[in-house]
Amino acid sequence: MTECLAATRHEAGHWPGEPALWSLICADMALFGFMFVVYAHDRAQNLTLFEAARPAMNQALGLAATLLLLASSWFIASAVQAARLDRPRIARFCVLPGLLCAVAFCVLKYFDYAEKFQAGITPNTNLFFTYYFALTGIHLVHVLAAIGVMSWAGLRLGRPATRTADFVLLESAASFWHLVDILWIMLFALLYLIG
Amino acid sequence: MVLFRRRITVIMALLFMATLISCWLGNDGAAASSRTAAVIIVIAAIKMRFVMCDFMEIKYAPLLLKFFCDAWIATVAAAILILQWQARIVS
Repeated sequence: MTECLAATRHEAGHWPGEPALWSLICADMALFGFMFVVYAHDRAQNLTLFEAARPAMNQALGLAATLLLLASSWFIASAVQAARLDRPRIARFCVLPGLLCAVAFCVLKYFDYAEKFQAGITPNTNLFFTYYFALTGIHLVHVLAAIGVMSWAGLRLGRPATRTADFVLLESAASFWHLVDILWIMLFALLYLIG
Repeated sequence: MVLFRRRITVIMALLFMATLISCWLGNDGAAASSRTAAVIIVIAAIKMRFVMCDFMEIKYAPLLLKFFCDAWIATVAAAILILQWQARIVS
């Protein structure tokens, strides 16, 4: 198990996860960063329209979704720290509530979308809602991918002989997981709070 | 359990508080003022950096990756703030 600790210990220049995965994460960050700026540009051009759409946003659902993702990130970060301390069972114990928080986030998004559709709001309603459905939809796909990868990493943690590769997989899945949280923090501010 | 008394638990409590403050600022009933919107964006950028540094553990990452992540947050937040400011000037 010393091998596992050596592979995941904190030292200057330690990649949190597989270095190759970081090209994907950085590309994703660049893409979302571009979309955030394009959204802000279009909002500046159509300020009245965007501000008029804000009351249709359910801030309570947005707040609950944000708190769930933050809590899930804490559980996953705790799982990585437990794995680093050579405690794979505690790590697995932390992954499960993290996954449940993300599933709860998806359920909240379902209610959020259902509420919009029941109010007759679709992606074609106006530019704000085109952005709302596109940005949150792409983000939701990321959440589902993160749930899949983290489930896989969690299952591998429980194997009798946990290997270095399993810890690297957990760190990689955790990095993608936190990316999903980071992107939502800005989406919540842009779409739900300032409109 | 020692695990749950670590720095990340304090960070999570701060992130929860920052989220509630942002929500309170953005939930005043009227359209968010330019200054309020700017504060909300700055709080979001700070939250993103905490998640990156402490949850994602970027603070231990290679210098190039740390630089990219910091530059990404700074660029995105600055661009949004400038566009927000310009929108208020025009309107």
